[in-house]
Amino acid sequence: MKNIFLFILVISTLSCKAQQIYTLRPTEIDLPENSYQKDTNNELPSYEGTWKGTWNNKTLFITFKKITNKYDSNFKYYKDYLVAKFKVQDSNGNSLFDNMNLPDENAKIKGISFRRYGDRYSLVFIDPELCNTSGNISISFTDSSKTKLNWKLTLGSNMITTDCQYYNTGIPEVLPKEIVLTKQ
Amino acid sequence: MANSEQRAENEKIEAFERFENLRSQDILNKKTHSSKNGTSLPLSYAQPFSEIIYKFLVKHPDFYDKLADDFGEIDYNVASQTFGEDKKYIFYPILKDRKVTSLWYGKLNEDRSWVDFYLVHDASSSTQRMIGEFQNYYSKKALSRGEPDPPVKEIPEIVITPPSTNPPINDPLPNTGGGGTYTPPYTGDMSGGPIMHGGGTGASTTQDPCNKMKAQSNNQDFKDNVKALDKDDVLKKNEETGVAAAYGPKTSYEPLANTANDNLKFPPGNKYFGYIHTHLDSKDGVVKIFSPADVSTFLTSCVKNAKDKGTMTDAYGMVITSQGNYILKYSGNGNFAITDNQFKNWQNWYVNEYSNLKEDELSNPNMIEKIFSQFLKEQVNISGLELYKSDKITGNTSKLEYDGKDNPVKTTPCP
Repeated sequence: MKNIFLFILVISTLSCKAQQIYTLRPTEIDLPENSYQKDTNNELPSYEGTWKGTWNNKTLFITFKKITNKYDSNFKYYKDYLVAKFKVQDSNGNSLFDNMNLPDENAKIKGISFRRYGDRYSLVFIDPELCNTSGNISISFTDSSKTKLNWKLTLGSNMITTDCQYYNTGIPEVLPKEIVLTKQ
Repeated sequence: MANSEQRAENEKIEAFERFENLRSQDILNKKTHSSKNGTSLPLSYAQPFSEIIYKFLVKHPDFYDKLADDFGEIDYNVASQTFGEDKKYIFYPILKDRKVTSLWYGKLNEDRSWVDFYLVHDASSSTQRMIGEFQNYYSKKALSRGEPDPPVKEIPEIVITPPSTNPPINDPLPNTGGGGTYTPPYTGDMSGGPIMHGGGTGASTTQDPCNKMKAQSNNQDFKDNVKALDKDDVLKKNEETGVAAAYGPKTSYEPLANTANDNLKFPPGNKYFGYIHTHLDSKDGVVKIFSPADVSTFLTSCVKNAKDKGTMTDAYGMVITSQGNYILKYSGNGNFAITDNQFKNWQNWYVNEYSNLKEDELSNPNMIEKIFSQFLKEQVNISGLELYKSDKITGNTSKLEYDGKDNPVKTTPCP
Protein backbone atom coordinates (compact mmCIF):
# COMPACT_ATOMS: atom_id res chain seq x y z
CA MET A 1 0.00 0.00 0.00
CA LYS A 2 2.84 2.28 0.96
CA ASN A 3 4.56 1.58 -2.37
CA ILE A 4 1.41 2.29 -4.33
CA PHE A 5 1.03 5.62 -2.56
CA LEU A 6 4.63 6.50 -3.31
CA PHE A 7 4.15 5.55 -6.98
CA ILE A 8 1.10 7.79 -7.26
CA LEU A 9 3.02 10.62 -5.64
CA VAL A 10 5.91 10.23 -8.09
CA ILE A 11 3.53 10.18 -11.07
CA SER A 12 1.77 13.27 -9.78
CA THR A 13 5.05 15.11 -9.34
CA LEU A 14 6.19 14.16 -12.81
CA SER A 15 2.93 15.29 -14.38
CA CYS A 16 3.15 18.63 -12.56
CA LYS A 17 6.59 19.21 -14.00
CA ALA A 18 5.68 18.31 -17.58
CA GLN A 19 6.61 21.16 -19.91
CA GLN A 20 3.66 22.98 -21.44
CA ILE A 21 4.06 23.47 -25.17
CA TYR A 22 2.49 26.34 -27.08
CA THR A 23 2.44 27.17 -30.76
CA LEU A 24 3.86 30.40 -32.17
CA ARG A 25 0.26 31.68 -32.18
CA PRO A 26 -0.66 31.24 -28.51
CA THR A 27 -3.95 32.65 -27.33
CA GLU A 28 -2.41 33.56 -23.96
CA ILE A 29 -0.20 36.59 -23.41
CA ASP A 30 1.53 35.40 -20.27
CA LEU A 31 3.04 32.00 -20.84
CA PRO A 32 3.96 29.97 -17.74
CA GLU A 33 7.53 29.63 -16.66
CA ASN A 34 9.54 26.92 -18.40
CA SER A 35 6.92 26.44 -21.09
CA TYR A 36 8.00 26.00 -24.70
CA GLN A 37 6.78 28.15 -27.56
CA LYS A 38 7.41 25.72 -30.36
CA ASP A 39 7.36 26.10 -34.13
CA THR A 40 4.89 23.24 -34.27
CA ASN A 41 4.01 23.86 -37.95
CA ASN A 42 7.67 24.15 -38.91
CA GLU A 43 7.07 27.55 -40.50
CA LEU A 44 10.28 29.33 -39.56
CA PRO A 45 12.72 27.45 -41.85
CA SER A 46 11.03 29.02 -44.88
CA TYR A 47 12.36 32.40 -43.78
CA GLU A 48 15.91 31.20 -43.31
CA GLY A 49 18.57 32.41 -45.72
CA THR A 50 19.63 35.75 -47.16
CA TRP A 51 17.20 38.30 -48.54
CA LYS A 52 17.89 41.49 -50.46
CA GLY A 53 16.06 44.74 -51.04
CA THR A 54 16.77 48.30 -52.15
CA TRP A 55 15.40 51.56 -50.82
CA ASN A 56 16.58 55.18 -50.88
CA ASN A 57 19.68 54.26 -52.89
CA LYS A 58 20.67 51.77 -50.21
CA THR A 59 20.73 48.01 -50.41
CA LEU A 60 19.83 45.76 -47.52
CA PHE A 61 21.14 42.23 -47.19
CA ILE A 62 19.53 40.40 -44.30
CA THR A 63 19.99 36.82 -43.18
CA PHE A 64 17.42 34.99 -41.07
CA LYS A 65 18.31 31.96 -39.00
CA LYS A 66 16.09 29.73 -36.89
CA ILE A 67 17.05 29.16 -33.26
CA THR A 68 15.44 26.15 -31.62
CA ASN A 69 14.30 25.57 -28.05
CA LYS A 70 16.32 28.42 -26.58
CA TYR A 71 15.65 29.50 -23.00
CA ASP A 72 14.84 33.18 -22.57
CA SER A 73 15.97 34.14 -19.08
CA ASN A 74 14.04 37.41 -19.19
CA PHE A 75 10.68 35.79 -19.86
CA LYS A 76 11.59 32.45 -18.32
CA TYR A 77 10.38 30.23 -21.13
CA TYR A 78 11.81 28.34 -24.07
CA LYS A 79 11.05 29.23 -27.63
CA ASP A 80 11.82 28.70 -31.30
CA TYR A 81 12.52 31.97 -33.05
CA LEU A 82 14.37 33.72 -35.85
CA VAL A 83 17.38 35.96 -35.47
CA ALA A 84 18.41 38.32 -38.25
CA LYS A 85 21.68 40.02 -39.05
CA PHE A 86 22.11 42.54 -41.80
CA LYS A 87 24.39 44.78 -43.78
CA VAL A 88 23.49 47.93 -45.66
CA GLN A 89 25.45 49.33 -48.59
CA ASP A 90 25.19 52.61 -50.45
CA SER A 91 24.70 52.79 -54.22
CA ASN A 92 28.44 52.40 -54.74
CA GLY A 93 28.65 49.25 -52.70
CA ASN A 94 30.23 50.95 -49.70
CA SER A 95 29.28 49.47 -46.37
CA LEU A 96 27.07 51.70 -44.24
CA PHE A 97 26.13 49.22 -41.53
CA ASP A 98 27.22 45.65 -41.04
CA ASN A 99 26.41 43.38 -38.12
CA MET A 100 26.57 40.08 -39.97
CA ASN A 101 29.35 38.86 -37.68
CA LEU A 102 27.54 39.39 -34.42
CA PRO A 103 26.94 36.23 -32.38
CA ASP A 104 23.33 35.04 -32.53
CA GLU A 105 22.63 36.01 -28.94
CA ASN A 106 23.64 39.61 -29.71
CA ALA A 107 21.71 39.93 -32.96
CA LYS A 108 19.90 43.24 -33.25
CA ILE A 109 16.79 41.57 -34.65
CA LYS A 110 15.14 38.73 -32.75
CA GLY A 111 11.85 37.01 -33.47
CA ILE A 112 8.81 36.87 -31.23
CA SER A 113 5.89 34.97 -32.74
CA PHE A 114 2.95 35.10 -35.11
CA ARG A 115 0.66 36.06 -32.27
CA ARG A 116 0.00 39.68 -33.23
CA TYR A 117 -0.97 39.30 -36.86
CA GLY A 118 -1.54 35.59 -37.36
CA ASP A 119 -0.05 35.57 -40.85
CA ARG A 120 2.93 37.82 -40.21
CA TYR A 121 5.88 36.98 -38.04
CA SER A 122 6.90 39.69 -35.51
CA LEU A 123 10.45 40.51 -34.59
CA VAL A 124 12.06 43.03 -32.25
CA PHE A 125 14.71 45.44 -33.48
CA ILE A 126 16.98 47.11 -30.92
CA ASP A 127 20.15 48.91 -31.94
CA PRO A 128 22.28 50.18 -29.03
CA GLU A 129 24.71 51.76 -31.51
CA LEU A 130 21.95 54.02 -32.81
CA CYS A 131 20.95 55.54 -29.48
CA ASN A 132 18.85 52.50 -28.66
CA THR A 133 16.59 52.86 -31.63
CA SER A 134 13.97 50.16 -31.32
CA GLY A 135 10.96 48.93 -33.16
CA ASN A 136 8.75 46.12 -34.25
CA ILE A 137 9.28 44.32 -37.56
CA SER A 138 6.71 42.12 -39.23
CA ILE A 139 7.42 39.88 -42.20
CA SER A 140 5.21 37.79 -44.43
CA PHE A 141 5.55 36.04 -47.77
CA THR A 142 3.90 37.81 -50.66
CA ASP A 143 2.88 34.53 -52.33
CA SER A 144 3.06 30.79 -52.03
CA SER A 145 6.45 30.60 -53.76
CA LYS A 146 7.96 32.14 -50.62
CA THR A 147 10.64 33.92 -52.59
CA LYS A 148 9.50 37.44 -51.79
CA LEU A 149 9.09 38.80 -48.34
CA ASN A 150 7.04 41.80 -47.30
CA TRP A 151 8.87 43.74 -44.59
CA LYS A 152 7.34 46.40 -42.29
CA LEU A 153 9.22 48.24 -39.58
CA THR A 154 7.47 50.38 -36.96
CA LEU A 155 9.95 52.33 -34.89
CA GLY A 156 9.12 52.99 -31.27
CA SER A 157 8.95 56.42 -29.73
CA ASN A 158 12.48 57.37 -28.84
CA MET A 159 13.17 60.65 -27.08
CA ILE A 160 16.87 61.37 -27.31
CA THR A 161 19.12 63.51 -25.18
CA THR A 162 22.52 65.05 -25.77
CA ASP A 163 24.00 61.70 -24.70
CA CYS A 164 23.04 60.43 -28.15
CA GLN A 165 25.89 60.88 -30.60
CA TYR A 166 23.32 61.62 -33.32
CA TYR A 167 21.61 64.34 -31.29
CA ASN A 168 22.52 67.10 -33.73
CA THR A 169 22.52 65.16 -36.97
CA GLY A 170 19.57 62.84 -36.47
CA ILE A 171 19.76 59.08 -36.20
CA PRO A 172 20.46 57.56 -39.61
CA GLU A 173 17.86 55.36 -41.21
CA VAL A 174 19.46 51.95 -40.95
CA LEU A 175 16.50 49.85 -42.07
CA PRO A 176 13.59 50.48 -44.44
CA LYS A 177 10.12 51.11 -43.07
CA GLU A 178 8.44 49.02 -45.77
CA ILE A 179 10.01 46.99 -48.55
CA VAL A 180 9.72 43.75 -50.46
CA LEU A 181 12.79 41.56 -50.04
CA THR A 182 13.88 38.95 -52.56
CA LYS A 183 15.35 35.58 -51.60
CA GLN A 184 18.98 35.23 -52.65
CA MET B 1 19.40 69.87 0.35
CA ALA B 2 19.94 67.39 3.14
CA ASN B 3 22.25 69.80 4.93
CA SER B 4 19.80 72.62 4.61
CA GLU B 5 16.96 70.53 5.91
CA GLN B 6 19.10 69.39 8.78
CA ARG B 7 19.88 72.96 9.67
CA ALA B 8 16.24 73.86 9.27
CA GLU B 9 15.39 71.41 11.99
CA ASN B 10 17.65 73.25 14.36
CA GLU B 11 17.26 76.87 13.49
CA LYS B 12 14.29 79.07 14.07
CA ILE B 13 12.84 81.32 11.46
CA GLU B 14 14.36 84.66 12.13
CA ALA B 15 11.20 86.70 11.76
CA PHE B 16 9.33 84.66 14.35
CA GLU B 17 12.29 84.43 16.72
CA ARG B 18 12.74 88.20 16.60
CA PHE B 19 9.03 88.75 17.07
CA GLU B 20 8.68 86.36 19.99
CA ASN B 21 11.71 87.82 21.74
CA LEU B 22 10.24 91.27 21.40
CA ARG B 23 6.85 90.06 22.46
CA SER B 24 8.17 88.34 25.57
CA GLN B 25 10.01 91.53 26.53
CA ASP B 26 6.83 93.51 26.02
CA ILE B 27 4.86 91.11 28.13
CA LEU B 28 7.49 91.38 30.85
CA ASN B 29 7.38 95.15 30.58
CA LYS B 30 3.58 95.09 30.31
CA LYS B 31 3.86 97.16 27.14
CA THR B 32 1.21 97.41 24.51
CA HIS B 33 1.14 99.11 21.14
CA SER B 34 -1.38 101.80 20.44
CA SER B 35 -3.69 101.50 17.53
CA LYS B 36 -4.83 104.44 15.52
CA ASN B 37 -8.01 104.74 17.52
CA GLY B 38 -6.14 104.72 20.75
CA THR B 39 -6.90 101.20 21.92
CA SER B 40 -4.11 98.95 23.10
CA LEU B 41 -2.94 96.03 21.00
CA PRO B 42 -0.45 93.30 21.79
CA LEU B 43 2.20 92.61 19.18
CA SER B 44 0.53 90.41 16.59
CA TYR B 45 1.82 87.24 14.94
CA ALA B 46 0.44 88.71 11.77
CA GLN B 47 3.61 90.78 11.50
CA PRO B 48 6.13 87.94 11.12
CA PHE B 49 3.61 85.90 9.14
CA SER B 50 3.14 88.73 6.64
CA GLU B 51 6.91 89.15 6.38
CA ILE B 52 7.30 85.50 5.49
CA ILE B 53 4.39 85.52 3.07
CA TYR B 54 5.79 88.57 1.35
CA LYS B 55 9.21 86.93 0.95
CA PHE B 56 7.56 83.78 -0.35
CA LEU B 57 5.69 85.65 -3.06
CA VAL B 58 8.66 87.78 -4.06
CA LYS B 59 10.70 84.63 -4.54
CA HIS B 60 7.98 82.99 -6.57
CA PRO B 61 6.57 85.47 -9.04
CA ASP B 62 5.10 82.66 -11.10
CA PHE B 63 2.90 81.61 -8.24
CA TYR B 64 2.19 85.22 -7.33
CA ASP B 65 0.98 85.92 -10.89
CA LYS B 66 -1.28 82.91 -10.88
CA LEU B 67 -2.67 83.75 -7.48
CA ALA B 68 -3.37 87.29 -8.62
CA ASP B 69 -5.03 86.11 -11.81
CA ASP B 70 -7.18 83.48 -10.19
CA PHE B 71 -8.01 84.88 -6.78
CA GLY B 72 -6.56 88.34 -6.31
CA GLU B 73 -4.08 89.92 -3.93
CA ILE B 74 -3.37 89.01 -0.33
CA ASP B 75 -4.00 91.94 1.97
CA TYR B 76 -1.07 91.84 4.36
CA ASN B 77 -2.57 94.68 6.32
CA VAL B 78 -5.49 92.65 7.60
CA ALA B 79 -5.38 89.30 9.36
CA SER B 80 -7.39 87.10 11.62
CA GLN B 81 -6.55 86.59 15.25
CA THR B 82 -3.83 84.03 15.81
CA PHE B 83 -4.96 80.53 16.74
CA GLY B 84 -3.06 77.90 18.67
CA GLU B 85 -0.84 77.66 21.69
CA ASP B 86 2.41 76.06 20.51
CA LYS B 87 1.69 75.94 16.81
CA LYS B 88 0.33 79.19 15.44
CA TYR B 89 -2.29 79.59 12.73
CA ILE B 90 -3.54 82.65 10.97
CA PHE B 91 -5.77 83.66 8.04
CA TYR B 92 -5.33 86.55 5.63
CA PRO B 93 -7.97 87.73 3.18
CA ILE B 94 -7.38 87.64 -0.57
CA LEU B 95 -9.23 90.29 -2.52
CA LYS B 96 -10.15 90.73 -6.12
CA ASP B 97 -12.11 93.79 -7.21
CA ARG B 98 -12.54 94.68 -3.54
CA LYS B 99 -14.24 91.40 -2.77
CA VAL B 100 -12.77 88.72 -0.54
CA THR B 101 -12.48 85.68 -2.77
CA SER B 102 -10.46 83.33 -0.61
CA LEU B 103 -8.14 83.04 2.35
CA TRP B 104 -4.43 82.63 2.77
CA TYR B 105 -3.73 80.29 5.64
CA GLY B 106 -0.39 80.15 7.42
CA LYS B 107 0.75 77.56 9.92
CA LEU B 108 3.88 77.91 12.04
CA ASN B 109 5.25 74.75 13.59
CA GLU B 110 6.05 74.29 17.25
CA ASP B 111 9.79 74.83 17.06
CA ARG B 112 9.40 77.88 14.80
CA SER B 113 11.45 76.36 12.00
CA TRP B 114 8.75 75.90 9.39
CA VAL B 115 5.75 77.66 7.92
CA ASP B 116 3.21 75.98 5.69
CA PHE B 117 0.97 78.02 3.43
CA TYR B 118 -2.35 77.06 1.93
CA LEU B 119 -4.85 78.81 -0.22
CA VAL B 120 -8.37 78.12 1.04
CA HIS B 121 -11.22 78.66 -1.36
CA ASP B 122 -13.61 75.80 -0.86
CA ALA B 123 -17.36 76.17 -0.67
CA SER B 124 -17.70 74.84 2.87
CA SER B 125 -19.83 76.86 5.25
CA SER B 126 -16.91 77.47 7.60
CA THR B 127 -14.71 78.87 4.84
CA GLN B 128 -17.53 80.96 3.44
CA ARG B 129 -18.29 82.28 6.92
CA MET B 130 -14.67 83.36 7.44
CA ILE B 131 -14.66 85.01 4.03
CA GLY B 132 -17.87 86.80 5.00
CA GLU B 133 -16.37 88.04 8.25
CA PHE B 134 -13.42 89.55 6.41
CA GLN B 135 -15.78 91.03 3.86
CA ASN B 136 -17.76 92.67 6.67
CA TYR B 137 -14.60 94.36 7.84
CA TYR B 138 -14.03 95.89 4.41
CA SER B 139 -17.67 96.91 4.08
CA LYS B 140 -17.58 98.73 7.41
CA LYS B 141 -14.27 100.32 6.51
CA ALA B 142 -15.75 101.64 3.28
CA LEU B 143 -18.55 103.28 5.25
CA SER B 144 -16.17 105.18 7.53
CA ARG B 145 -15.66 108.54 5.86
CA GLY B 146 -12.81 110.97 5.76
CA GLU B 147 -10.47 109.06 8.01
CA PRO B 148 -6.99 108.90 6.49
CA ASP B 149 -4.79 105.89 6.94
CA PRO B 150 -2.15 106.35 9.61
CA PRO B 151 1.45 106.81 8.40
CA VAL B 152 2.53 103.58 10.10
CA LYS B 153 -0.01 100.86 10.07
CA GLU B 154 -0.43 98.11 12.53
CA ILE B 155 -2.25 95.08 11.23
CA PRO B 156 -5.90 95.10 12.22
CA GLU B 157 -6.90 91.83 13.77
CA ILE B 158 -10.23 90.64 12.44
CA VAL B 159 -11.77 88.27 14.88
CA ILE B 160 -13.18 85.45 12.83
CA THR B 161 -15.00 82.33 13.81
CA PRO B 162 -12.71 79.36 13.27
CA PRO B 163 -14.05 76.39 11.31
CA SER B 164 -16.38 74.27 13.41
CA THR B 165 -15.12 71.08 11.85
CA ASN B 166 -11.47 70.28 11.42
CA PRO B 167 -10.46 73.61 12.92
CA PRO B 168 -6.92 74.63 12.09
CA ILE B 169 -5.98 74.63 15.73
CA ASN B 170 -6.60 70.87 15.77
CA ASP B 171 -5.78 69.99 12.22
CA PRO B 172 -3.21 72.04 10.39
CA LEU B 173 -4.50 70.98 6.99
CA PRO B 174 -7.66 72.79 6.03
CA ASN B 175 -10.04 70.67 4.05
CA THR B 176 -7.63 69.17 1.59
CA GLY B 177 -10.06 66.55 0.47
CA GLY B 178 -12.78 68.52 -1.18
CA GLY B 179 -10.85 70.00 -4.00
CA GLY B 180 -11.36 73.44 -2.61
CA THR B 181 -7.92 73.88 -1.18
CA TYR B 182 -5.25 75.01 -3.52
CA THR B 183 -1.78 74.04 -2.51
CA PRO B 184 0.92 76.30 -3.87
CA PRO B 185 2.73 74.55 -6.67
CA TYR B 186 6.04 76.32 -6.31
CA THR B 187 7.01 75.31 -2.84
CA GLY B 188 8.97 72.28 -3.86
CA ASP B 189 12.28 74.05 -3.90
CA MET B 190 11.51 75.94 -0.77
CA SER B 191 11.05 73.16 1.70
CA GLY B 192 13.11 73.81 4.72
CA GLY B 193 13.92 76.60 7.01
CA PRO B 194 15.69 79.86 7.42
CA ILE B 195 18.95 79.02 5.74
CA MET B 196 17.38 78.23 2.44
CA HIS B 197 14.75 80.87 2.36
CA GLY B 198 15.80 83.74 4.51
CA GLY B 199 12.92 83.26 6.82
CA GLY B 200 11.59 79.89 6.02
CA THR B 201 8.59 79.05 4.01
CA GLY B 202 7.30 76.05 2.24
CA ALA B 203 4.82 73.28 2.51
CA SER B 204 6.14 69.80 3.08
CA THR B 205 2.82 68.38 1.99
CA THR B 206 3.37 69.78 -1.47
CA GLN B 207 6.17 67.29 -2.02
CA ASP B 208 3.46 64.68 -2.41
CA PRO B 209 3.10 63.84 -6.13
CA CYS B 210 -0.68 64.11 -5.94
CA ASN B 211 -0.53 67.61 -4.52
CA LYS B 212 2.07 68.60 -7.08
CA MET B 213 -0.08 67.35 -9.93
CA LYS B 214 -3.19 68.92 -8.47
CA ALA B 215 -1.48 72.29 -8.40
CA GLN B 216 -0.15 71.70 -11.89
CA SER B 217 -3.54 70.79 -13.28
CA ASN B 218 -4.83 74.12 -11.96
CA ASN B 219 -2.08 76.04 -13.71
CA GLN B 220 -3.43 77.71 -16.82
CA ASP B 221 -0.17 77.49 -18.79
CA PHE B 222 0.10 73.79 -18.10
CA LYS B 223 -3.53 73.25 -19.05
CA ASP B 224 -3.06 75.24 -22.24
CA ASN B 225 -0.07 73.13 -23.26
CA VAL B 226 -1.88 69.88 -22.59
CA LYS B 227 -4.92 71.12 -24.47
CA ALA B 228 -2.79 72.14 -27.45
CA LEU B 229 -1.38 68.62 -27.71
CA ASP B 230 -4.50 66.63 -26.89
CA LYS B 231 -6.18 67.17 -30.24
CA ASP B 232 -7.08 64.83 -33.06
CA ASP B 233 -5.09 66.73 -35.66
CA VAL B 234 -1.99 66.74 -33.44
CA LEU B 235 -2.29 63.05 -32.65
CA LYS B 236 -2.69 62.30 -36.36
CA LYS B 237 0.49 64.09 -37.38
CA ASN B 238 3.36 62.13 -38.85
CA GLU B 239 5.70 63.27 -36.11
CA GLU B 240 5.33 63.44 -32.38
CA THR B 241 4.86 66.87 -30.83
CA GLY B 242 5.86 68.03 -27.40
CA VAL B 243 7.18 70.65 -25.03
CA ALA B 244 9.75 70.75 -22.25
CA ALA B 245 8.98 72.62 -19.03
CA ALA B 246 11.77 74.89 -17.83
CA TYR B 247 12.48 76.56 -14.52
CA GLY B 248 12.50 80.32 -14.53
CA PRO B 249 10.81 83.27 -12.91
CA LYS B 250 7.81 81.73 -14.56
CA THR B 251 7.69 78.15 -15.84
CA SER B 252 8.18 78.24 -19.59
CA TYR B 253 7.25 75.57 -22.11
CA GLU B 254 9.60 75.13 -25.05
CA PRO B 255 8.79 73.01 -28.10
CA LEU B 256 10.65 69.73 -28.46
CA ALA B 257 12.48 69.51 -31.76
CA ASN B 258 12.04 66.53 -34.05
CA THR B 259 14.83 64.69 -35.77
CA ALA B 260 14.56 62.37 -38.72
CA ASN B 261 13.48 58.86 -37.80
CA ASP B 262 10.65 59.73 -35.42
CA ASN B 263 12.74 61.06 -32.56
CA LEU B 264 12.00 63.94 -30.24
CA LYS B 265 14.96 65.83 -28.81
CA PHE B 266 14.97 66.64 -25.12
CA PRO B 267 16.73 70.03 -24.96
CA PRO B 268 20.21 70.43 -23.48
CA GLY B 269 20.78 72.30 -20.23
CA ASN B 270 19.67 71.68 -16.69
CA LYS B 271 16.64 73.93 -16.49
CA TYR B 272 14.19 71.44 -17.94
CA PHE B 273 12.28 69.49 -15.31
CA GLY B 274 9.37 68.12 -17.31
CA TYR B 275 8.07 67.16 -20.70
CA ILE B 276 4.72 66.65 -22.34
CA HIS B 277 4.54 64.87 -25.69
CA THR B 278 2.27 62.86 -27.89
CA HIS B 279 2.22 59.24 -28.98
CA LEU B 280 0.56 59.14 -32.34
CA ASP B 281 -2.54 57.62 -33.86
CA SER B 282 -1.13 57.92 -37.33
CA LYS B 283 1.12 54.86 -37.20
CA ASP B 284 0.50 51.17 -36.70
CA GLY B 285 1.70 49.51 -33.57
CA VAL B 286 2.30 52.66 -31.54
CA VAL B 287 2.18 51.94 -27.83
CA LYS B 288 -0.08 54.53 -26.24
CA ILE B 289 1.95 55.04 -23.09
CA PHE B 290 5.55 55.92 -22.23
CA SER B 291 8.38 54.24 -24.12
CA PRO B 292 11.49 52.99 -22.30
CA ALA B 293 13.29 56.06 -23.68
CA ASP B 294 10.60 58.29 -22.17
CA VAL B 295 11.14 56.64 -18.79
CA SER B 296 14.90 56.96 -19.08
CA THR B 297 14.74 60.62 -20.14
CA PHE B 298 12.38 61.38 -17.30
CA LEU B 299 14.76 59.88 -14.75
CA THR B 300 18.10 60.93 -16.17
CA SER B 301 17.10 64.40 -17.37
CA CYS B 302 13.93 65.67 -15.69
CA VAL B 303 14.55 64.23 -12.22
CA LYS B 304 18.25 65.02 -12.39
CA ASN B 305 17.63 68.62 -13.47
CA ALA B 306 14.94 69.06 -10.84
CA LYS B 307 17.36 67.76 -8.23
CA ASP B 308 19.91 70.38 -9.34
CA LYS B 309 17.57 73.30 -9.76
CA GLY B 310 14.58 72.59 -7.56
CA THR B 311 13.37 69.41 -5.96
CA MET B 312 12.96 66.02 -7.54
CA THR B 313 9.22 65.99 -6.98
CA ASP B 314 8.93 68.90 -9.41
CA ALA B 315 9.93 66.55 -12.23
CA TYR B 316 7.31 65.03 -14.45
CA GLY B 317 6.94 63.29 -17.75
CA MET B 318 3.60 63.32 -19.50
CA VAL B 319 2.46 61.48 -22.57
CA ILE B 320 -0.70 62.42 -24.44
CA THR B 321 -2.43 59.67 -26.39
CA SER B 322 -5.88 59.08 -27.78
CA GLN B 323 -6.28 56.23 -25.29
CA GLY B 324 -5.30 58.19 -22.20
CA ASN B 325 -2.91 60.72 -20.76
CA TYR B 326 -0.26 59.49 -18.36
CA ILE B 327 2.20 61.15 -15.98
CA LEU B 328 5.42 59.88 -14.45
CA LYS B 329 6.47 61.26 -11.08
CA TYR B 330 9.37 60.49 -8.80
CA SER B 331 9.34 60.62 -5.02
CA GLY B 332 12.48 58.61 -4.23
CA ASN B 333 15.83 59.65 -2.84
CA GLY B 334 17.59 60.06 -6.17
CA ASN B 335 19.85 57.07 -5.72
CA PHE B 336 19.28 55.35 -9.01
CA ALA B 337 21.40 54.60 -12.04
CA ILE B 338 20.53 53.07 -15.36
CA THR B 339 23.25 51.04 -17.03
CA ASP B 340 23.36 50.38 -20.77
CA ASN B 341 22.65 46.74 -20.12
CA GLN B 342 19.67 47.51 -17.91
CA PHE B 343 18.23 49.79 -20.53
CA LYS B 344 18.70 47.14 -23.19
CA ASN B 345 16.82 44.68 -21.01
CA TRP B 346 14.04 47.22 -20.50
CA GLN B 347 13.70 47.66 -24.24
CA ASN B 348 13.84 43.97 -24.94
CA TRP B 349 11.09 43.21 -22.42
CA TYR B 350 8.95 46.16 -23.45
CA VAL B 351 9.11 45.64 -27.21
CA ASN B 352 8.56 41.90 -26.83
CA GLU B 353 5.52 42.32 -24.62
CA TYR B 354 3.85 44.99 -26.71
CA SER B 355 4.78 43.39 -30.03
CA ASN B 356 3.04 40.28 -28.80
CA LEU B 357 -0.29 42.06 -28.45
CA LYS B 358 -2.92 41.72 -31.14
CA GLU B 359 -4.31 44.90 -32.69
CA ASP B 360 -7.42 44.90 -30.51
CA GLU B 361 -5.34 44.31 -27.40
CA LEU B 362 -3.01 47.15 -28.35
CA SER B 363 -5.97 49.51 -28.51
CA ASN B 364 -7.20 48.47 -25.08
CA PRO B 365 -5.86 50.98 -22.51
CA ASN B 366 -6.36 48.48 -19.69
CA MET B 367 -3.92 46.08 -21.32
CA ILE B 368 -1.47 48.85 -22.16
CA GLU B 369 -1.54 50.07 -18.57
CA LYS B 370 -1.19 46.59 -17.13
CA ILE B 371 1.88 45.76 -19.17
CA PHE B 372 3.45 49.14 -18.54
CA SER B 373 2.83 49.03 -14.79
CA GLN B 374 4.35 45.55 -14.77
CA PHE B 375 7.28 46.94 -16.75
CA LEU B 376 7.84 49.66 -14.14
CA LYS B 377 7.54 47.25 -11.24
CA GLU B 378 9.48 44.27 -12.50
CA GLN B 379 11.91 45.62 -15.08
CA VAL B 380 12.63 49.23 -14.15
CA ASN B 381 12.13 48.63 -10.43
CA ILE B 382 13.26 52.07 -9.25
CA SER B 383 11.84 52.99 -5.88
CA GLY B 384 9.79 56.17 -5.98
CA LEU B 385 9.02 56.04 -9.69
CA GLU B 386 5.25 56.30 -10.00
CA LEU B 387 2.73 56.13 -12.81
CA TYR B 388 -0.43 58.23 -12.88
CA LYS B 389 -3.30 58.55 -15.30
CA SER B 390 -4.65 62.02 -15.89
CA ASP B 391 -8.32 62.43 -16.70
CA LYS B 392 -8.62 64.10 -20.09
CA ILE B 393 -11.48 66.34 -18.99
CA THR B 394 -10.87 67.17 -15.34
CA GLY B 395 -7.10 66.70 -15.15
CA ASN B 396 -7.65 64.65 -11.98
CA THR B 397 -4.99 62.02 -11.48
CA SER B 398 -5.02 58.42 -10.30
CA LYS B 399 -2.03 56.33 -9.37
CA LEU B 400 -1.69 53.09 -11.34
CA GLU B 401 0.14 50.13 -9.83
CA TYR B 402 0.72 46.60 -11.07
CA ASP B 403 -1.12 44.12 -8.88
CA GLY B 404 -0.11 40.77 -10.29
CA LYS B 405 -0.95 39.12 -13.57
CA ASP B 406 -4.33 37.85 -12.37
CA ASN B 407 -5.58 41.22 -11.15
CA PRO B 408 -6.41 44.45 -12.91
CA VAL B 409 -4.14 47.42 -12.38
CA LYS B 410 -4.66 48.91 -8.94
CA THR B 411 -6.05 52.41 -9.37
CA THR B 412 -5.87 54.91 -6.52
CA PRO B 413 -7.39 58.33 -7.20
CA CYS B 414 -5.44 61.26 -5.83
CA PRO B 415 -7.33 62.97 -3.01
